Amino acid sequence: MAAIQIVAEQMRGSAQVERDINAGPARSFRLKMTSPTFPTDASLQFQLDVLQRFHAGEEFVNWFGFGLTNGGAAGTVGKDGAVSDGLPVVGASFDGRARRIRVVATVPTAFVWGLTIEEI
Amino acid sequence: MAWLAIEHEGAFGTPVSSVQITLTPRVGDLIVVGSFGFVDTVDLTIADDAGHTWSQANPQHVRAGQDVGESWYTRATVSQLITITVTKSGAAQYLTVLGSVFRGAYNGTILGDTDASTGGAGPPTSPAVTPVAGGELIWAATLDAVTAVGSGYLKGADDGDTDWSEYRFLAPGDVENKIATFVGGAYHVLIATFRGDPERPQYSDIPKVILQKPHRLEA
Repeated sequence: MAAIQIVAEQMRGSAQVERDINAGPARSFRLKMTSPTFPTDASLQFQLDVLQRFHAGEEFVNWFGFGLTNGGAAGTVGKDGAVSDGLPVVGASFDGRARRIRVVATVPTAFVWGLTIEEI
Repeated sequence: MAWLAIEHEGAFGTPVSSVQITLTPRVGDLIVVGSFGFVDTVDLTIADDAGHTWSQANPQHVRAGQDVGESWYTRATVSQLITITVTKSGAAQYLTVLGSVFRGAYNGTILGDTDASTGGAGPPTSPAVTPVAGGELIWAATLDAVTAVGSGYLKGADDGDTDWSEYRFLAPGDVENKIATFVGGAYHVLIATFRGDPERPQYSDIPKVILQKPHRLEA
């Protein structure tokens, strides 16, 4: 289930999207990049930061994120021997408390990319 | 002595060069972070935005042909949300970070015994570690297809990709060797013991609050 998808073709700089997560049982979610060029271009960089807040009006604070300093990772062998498609995935679990998340992508060099957010 | 588990946070990324998590300790809390990164030749480093000095708990441990595991700990010097970043060397690849905050650590040498193991089939099982004083925190983390904690353990951090940590608090005087197990398949397990504060009372030492039925107000 791709709950949110943003596509920023040739974007440079940063983009962000926010989403409310309702209270419920502990669960996990993942964010995955979509891009036709990132997996094979080692010069590309991508920074993803996920922030959260628990009450309206509060400042967003860091939750988790990652920095990817080189694209071109398609074909690498990773966990469980799986061959990576080179598109970064990041995920985390949480305790089920309701929150609003803000996903910020920073892209120094413009390229075609998108992002999906999926609750598991 | 008594421990409290305050918070657990896990996250993973692939293929990435670093992964961040956030934790909110109070001054004096023990923060334990385990990490696994691919491939088996990479180095892992940890830092946080509050400038803590991190000590190694589990030294770098290699699962040949696959990944490395390592853990660190520190005593919180701030009472605020901190962002912890683990960075791997080499090409972007799979990286997971499992962090926990515990209250009740000994105000001296905290780290006790550590060990690690790998296996091609489950259940994930650590080598035995030896408590030295009783009342220790036993912390373990494992990489791969975990579905449940082992007997006697509570769930710690979960990265959302079947990599978990777990923990248990030993009773005072319990210095029997301990192992950690998980329910899962092929594995890479880290285990470490941390000494508890002997000055911190057991829950049973805390005066009980007796709840009484409210008196009925008579007209």
